[in-house]
Amino acid sequence: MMIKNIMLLTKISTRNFLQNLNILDKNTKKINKKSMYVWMLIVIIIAIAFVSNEVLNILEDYGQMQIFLNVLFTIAIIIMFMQTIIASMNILYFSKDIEYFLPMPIKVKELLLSKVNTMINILYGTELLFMLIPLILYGVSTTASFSYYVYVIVTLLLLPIFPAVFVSIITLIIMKFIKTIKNKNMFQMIVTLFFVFLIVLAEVLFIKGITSTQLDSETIGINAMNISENINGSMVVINPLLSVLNQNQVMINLIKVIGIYAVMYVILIEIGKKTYIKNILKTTGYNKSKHKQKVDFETQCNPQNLSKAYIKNEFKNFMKNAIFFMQTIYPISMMMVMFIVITIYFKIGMIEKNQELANLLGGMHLTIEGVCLILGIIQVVCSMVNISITAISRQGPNAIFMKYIPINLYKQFLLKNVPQVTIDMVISGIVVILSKIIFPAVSIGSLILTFLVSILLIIINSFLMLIVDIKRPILDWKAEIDVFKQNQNKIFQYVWTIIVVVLLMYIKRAFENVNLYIGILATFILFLFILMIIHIYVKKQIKNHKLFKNII
Amino acid sequence: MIEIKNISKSYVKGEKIIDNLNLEIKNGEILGFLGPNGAGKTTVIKMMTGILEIDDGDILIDGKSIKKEPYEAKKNLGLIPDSPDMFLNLKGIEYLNFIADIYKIGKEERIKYIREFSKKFDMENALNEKIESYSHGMRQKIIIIGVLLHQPKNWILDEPITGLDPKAIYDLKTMMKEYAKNGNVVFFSTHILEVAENLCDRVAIINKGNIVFVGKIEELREKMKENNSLEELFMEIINDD
Repeated sequence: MMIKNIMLLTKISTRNFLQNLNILDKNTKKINKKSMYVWMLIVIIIAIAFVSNEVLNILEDYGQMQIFLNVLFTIAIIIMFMQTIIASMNILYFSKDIEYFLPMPIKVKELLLSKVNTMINILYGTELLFMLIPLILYGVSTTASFSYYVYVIVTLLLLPIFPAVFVSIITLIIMKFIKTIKNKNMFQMIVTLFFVFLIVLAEVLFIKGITSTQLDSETIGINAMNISENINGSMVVINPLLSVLNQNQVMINLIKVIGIYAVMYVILIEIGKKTYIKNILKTTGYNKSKHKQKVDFETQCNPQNLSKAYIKNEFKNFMKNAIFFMQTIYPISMMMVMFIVITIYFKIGMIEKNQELANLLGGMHLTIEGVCLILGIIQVVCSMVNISITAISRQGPNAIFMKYIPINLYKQFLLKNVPQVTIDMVISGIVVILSKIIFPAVSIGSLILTFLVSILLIIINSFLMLIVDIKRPILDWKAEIDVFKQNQNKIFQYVWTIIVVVLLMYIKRAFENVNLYIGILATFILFLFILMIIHIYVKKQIKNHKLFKNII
Repeated sequence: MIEIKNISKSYVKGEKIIDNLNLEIKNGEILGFLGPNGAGKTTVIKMMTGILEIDDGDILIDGKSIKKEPYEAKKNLGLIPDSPDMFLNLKGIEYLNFIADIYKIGKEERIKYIREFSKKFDMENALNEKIESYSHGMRQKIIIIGVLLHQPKNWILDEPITGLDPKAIYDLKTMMKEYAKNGNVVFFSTHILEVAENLCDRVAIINKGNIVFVGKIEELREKMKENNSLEELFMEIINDD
């Protein structure tokens, strides 16, 4: 009965989690070709297959094939740990189904194990994505026997249990020591930021580790092997599982792994019995236990300039909501952090150690081709910021608020663009600064001009995406995630980005033989012209009561 | 004063949701706007507040056209929409400050009103909480306080009673009476006929996009020549139409 209950709860919980990814079409139950995740998965699978094949070929040449499995398991376990750290809080404490399960006659053990199973199921998905193809390719390259593929399945089934149970135990302990969670959204955001910090730290250590000595493929391989051996050694089940895969003392190693899991499950259940439900109640009932704070009118009621108050409110809309934050600027924050770390280590770890490369990059000057490349990168990166394209939809039914307050709609249109333009300008600034770091000879003047042109591009992009959302808003959503899941407007962002890239390619060809500054000036005038046309269109549409007519 | 002059609205060409509707609400008056579901109450309110475009006709708010001078007209309007789920990520006090900033209310005035109305609606201890943690009734109250902050001359309420506890209903009704007594317009839609009967100076009944009755309850009774309850009169007039 208990196992039946656990299976049932696991099924419901896993389905709830997967529904958020929108991989299957709700009506047809077939693969949802419109889902961003589906396309991302396809791209990742192809990329992993390609990279694995290349790495295997190189390792074969050096006769170091054993490095592949070690490094693959290290990368996979790091990914799984990070994924579990993010998912564990949500699945164990904040998933919506918990409130439905709580009044039911379900034992703590059943609920807890079903939640851990859900995490394991998610990690099976990660394994399918990151490990299955590389392991098959490894088998093919080493002409492995049939039994290797059987052990691949056994290993893949056993591996995710370790991060899932381990992280769950840690999460249970952490939650025991947190008195109350005053703000659920803020708490999730802090956990996410902590995760960003971990990624940066891991990147720094890994890149530093493999580039700390002389730079050649063989040394990088040996360094990577050393790091992975250290990591794998600290994850007690990895080495036994690798031995299983290598068909080395299979039974002994399997018993070892199962024994470790048995101990971990006992610890999990014992801690869970004492703390899990108490902690859940702590997270769901925080408002009732919270000490009510009185308003300090003198400090909390300071008047603000109308535009400032409006813009502040626009920022709060996505900064104070975990889902909106995760869907609007979180991906880009991650990407920028990675850009910065990679650039710095590329500069310190590779360019400074390779005089030839340093001379090559150090001697480069900015051309119109470079300007177009920088602008193209800025456009592509900024297209991932989903602020303007959801500015109206995020408001839901109260988007009508903007229509009955005494602020003219044109002014509101401009103010609503401020958050996206601000964030995009920061991105543009970072891209320009990174360009200067990699190509030190490029003049600051030309980079500043490129930055100015990029501001026009950023404003155009934000205006267009806001127009799209104003014309096709999703206002009747039930949960915040629907703003992004049901939103087909993103296609306009992709199309516009392609148009910009094509336009930049044309600019590059048209101005490649003229003075750089004339090229930049011409690009500036072109974008200014486009912006003016959009501006006239917006004014005309507002005057004729057409632009906001779908917000009712 | 609100003057609705020959307004019409259609979503599909040729099918009028609101057909040549006329209505005048004088200063100092409480007008209850009654009608069955789908009669066009919310559509009219949306046109009055500039949310929905008017196809034909015009609406004047204190003499300012909502079509031609929307900015000026909206300054004199306060709307309580039918859904109170607004700005859920903000704390109550943040929301009130935001509204006060939009309507350019000075520090002293905003403190005075926030204090007064939060006390009246028993919301003092909840102002530092996020609106998403409020109950339906509390959300309704914070929106009402937000509207009262800028003391609009024309107060429009779309189903304001729904979700409020008896004390809050009593307080709101008292406030609506006081508000009208001070020479302001109070226009509200409701399904609860008892409220309309007790509170309104006049009622307007809308059915299928047309006003089928405007006047005092006594006039309605006179018209039907029976001393029935408002509920019975309402059913009769709707069925007749």
